Amino acid sequence: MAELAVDKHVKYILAVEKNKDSFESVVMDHLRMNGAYWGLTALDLLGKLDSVNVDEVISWILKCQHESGGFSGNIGHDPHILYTLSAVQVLALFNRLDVLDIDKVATCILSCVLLMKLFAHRWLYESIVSSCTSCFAQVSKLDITGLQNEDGSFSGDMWGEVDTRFSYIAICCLSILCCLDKINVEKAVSYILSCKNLDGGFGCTPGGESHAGQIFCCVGALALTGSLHYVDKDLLGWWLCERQVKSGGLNGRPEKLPDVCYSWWVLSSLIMIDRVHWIDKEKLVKFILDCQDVENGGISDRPDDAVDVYHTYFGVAGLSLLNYPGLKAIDPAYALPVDVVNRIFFSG
Amino acid sequence: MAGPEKHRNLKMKRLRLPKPRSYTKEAVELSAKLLEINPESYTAWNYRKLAVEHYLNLPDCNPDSIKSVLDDELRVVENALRQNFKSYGAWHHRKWVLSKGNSSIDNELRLLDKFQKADSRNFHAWNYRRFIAESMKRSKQDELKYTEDMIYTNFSNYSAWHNRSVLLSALFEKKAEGFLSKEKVLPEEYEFIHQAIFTDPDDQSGWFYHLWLLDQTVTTDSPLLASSWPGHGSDVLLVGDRRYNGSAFSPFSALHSDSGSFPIVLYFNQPVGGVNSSTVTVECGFNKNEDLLWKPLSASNSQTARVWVAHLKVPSSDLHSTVEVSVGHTKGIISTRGFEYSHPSMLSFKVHVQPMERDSSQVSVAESISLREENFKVYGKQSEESIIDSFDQLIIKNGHETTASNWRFEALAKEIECFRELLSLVDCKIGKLTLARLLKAYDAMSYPFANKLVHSEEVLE
Repeated sequence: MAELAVDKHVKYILAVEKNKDSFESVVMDHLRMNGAYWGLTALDLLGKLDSVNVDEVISWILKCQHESGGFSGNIGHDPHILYTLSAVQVLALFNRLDVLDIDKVATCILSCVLLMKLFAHRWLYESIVSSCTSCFAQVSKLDITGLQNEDGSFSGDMWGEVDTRFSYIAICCLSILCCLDKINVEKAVSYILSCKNLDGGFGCTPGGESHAGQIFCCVGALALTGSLHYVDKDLLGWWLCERQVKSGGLNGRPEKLPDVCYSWWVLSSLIMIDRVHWIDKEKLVKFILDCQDVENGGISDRPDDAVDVYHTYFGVAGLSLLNYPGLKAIDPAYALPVDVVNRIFFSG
Repeated sequence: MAGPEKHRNLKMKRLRLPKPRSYTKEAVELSAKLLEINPESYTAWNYRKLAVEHYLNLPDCNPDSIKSVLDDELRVVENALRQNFKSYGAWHHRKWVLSKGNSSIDNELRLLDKFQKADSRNFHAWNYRRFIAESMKRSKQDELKYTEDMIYTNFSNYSAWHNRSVLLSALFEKKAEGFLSKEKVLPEEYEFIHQAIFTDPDDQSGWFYHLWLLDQTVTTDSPLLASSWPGHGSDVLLVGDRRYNGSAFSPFSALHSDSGSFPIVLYFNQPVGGVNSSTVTVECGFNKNEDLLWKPLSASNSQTARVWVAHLKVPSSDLHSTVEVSVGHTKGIISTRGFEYSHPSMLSFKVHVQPMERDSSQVSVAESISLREENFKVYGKQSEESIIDSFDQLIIKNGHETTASNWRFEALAKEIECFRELLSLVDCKIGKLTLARLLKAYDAMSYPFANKLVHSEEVLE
């Protein structure tokens, strides 16, 4: 059986990050924040997060934060909840959630005020206070509270698109920041449950067809809010384990082609509902390894296709869930390395 | 995947929105060109929305110019979708444009038809279709016909079957416009699904729909009383003392309510309304039925719930008494789906009150309700989603008529025959699983407590 070409994948990820002009980077321009999360989390799972310049990354992330508090996919783009989560997740990876720290910002405001009074540079004083104050407002909610709707659902941004992906994002993000109380959790859960289908799965809106990606989001959100008892684990478990096809790979819906990214969406869902023993793990490991480009690094959606950072991350994350040796453990609900999650909840 | 031409084009069209924001014709046109190549560039969609709002707020706009602006947007969306018919941004932009008015249901259905023919599993298109059907009030019957047409074109269309199950679920509700009775519809659906399954037994699309049909056949519509506290035939011991010292006498000390009273809890298998002292009568020596107030236990302030509670006031003197609770002998209890509670039930339990002296030296004296293990019975605890479980729990409690009716038996019997036949022709994993489920269901429906083993040999095979 093939092996995981760790060094090649690390080199590939670092190259994508550096080369801002490649086709992949240009196409990804608007979702570079997601790309950062995929690439950096994969590096961390491979044990090589220290290969990047932390300060550079963080300074770029902060440039993507808008007045509303939300983050955009890249500089020059509008804020959207999709990128807010990735930003928070990357900051968590680097243990730098403090850049969003309310207390720190409050202290900053106070000391700035003092300094400026001393120097009596009024214009400087005013601009610093106003940016600190807006920073303060940003910090306290990241704009997420404002995105919850009457029925408990979440919009992605001010333009109102609703999708259970955004419910997961809101819950995951605020959970990482330990302020889930900023939203109406009960209504959020009841909206998610209204998207439960007759096959046990979940769609993006009520009546939407079950899809492994949406199922991950809904099951993850239910897990993070202690609501897994609403899931019919046997029924959903069966639907999920039927995603495994002859080649050992997983698809996202019945009668579709297998794709490495479902090694994450389906697998983490199965783990959260305690039915992962219903699939053939060995066959899945083999499928993921067959999707590698062992020459140039990177993982693709299925064997012999072109690689990208998205599938590289999901392949590595899937292998981690399957306990592939040499990889850090990853949390199926937070989609962050377990040591990062532990650090958030169990230290200080 | 990426020709050098395309790469160059993309680089040129990289997002360069005018700063400060302006909405000149050139800038707006440029955004259209960008979106045609890269519909995922969401900020460009946002920019166009702002541009539309800017134009709509201009003093010289009129119905014609508005229509032209909105038509433009619809055209841009269509072009973008040609590039990537799975673009969230494009579909949402179309929804947003429609919220400003300006398209007809025919236009939208025509567009959908194109995309759904190109890819019948495109869930964006199906979601958009459901949105249009809802907001433009297309009848569910028409939509059912559409799913039928899609399925006849290609049986392997999970998305169409899924939509069918969503539409039928809504139409099975008593209060739905165009209400359909399961008894009439399900046998027809079984015929329909057989065509799919027999055409290609390995295709999963039909099997999941079939499982849903089974669930619909087996679960009853009318609500049932699933359990109660105190349980039927139990003994409740009330140790009366006015002092409440909060010691956890039992895991259920939370059932403590006001001093001198204890709750009667009714648990139904689905949310119901209409539980009151007319529809539920409580006969006991020490309370008047008309005084009882039944309340729904619901997280929101809903008047319907699965759990209903009333409190009986208990006298402070020594007492041994039987309490009889009659549920549903008068009409009025109705499920949220519009089906009446139609199985009058009765339960009874004994209450023993033992008042304590005020200055008792006993440890952990509390006004507590003593629960002995055997008092706490849970009757068929029905989780509505658990199909496999529900096969075992159709019959709820002693002395109740079975809830299964003839057409359900016939349907199951037919299915069993059908799948035995299929399996004699084809070796099919899901087929075997389905047959096993059918046999279990049939047994559960026919004999509530005995004889579940009738078919188990075949099941285990």
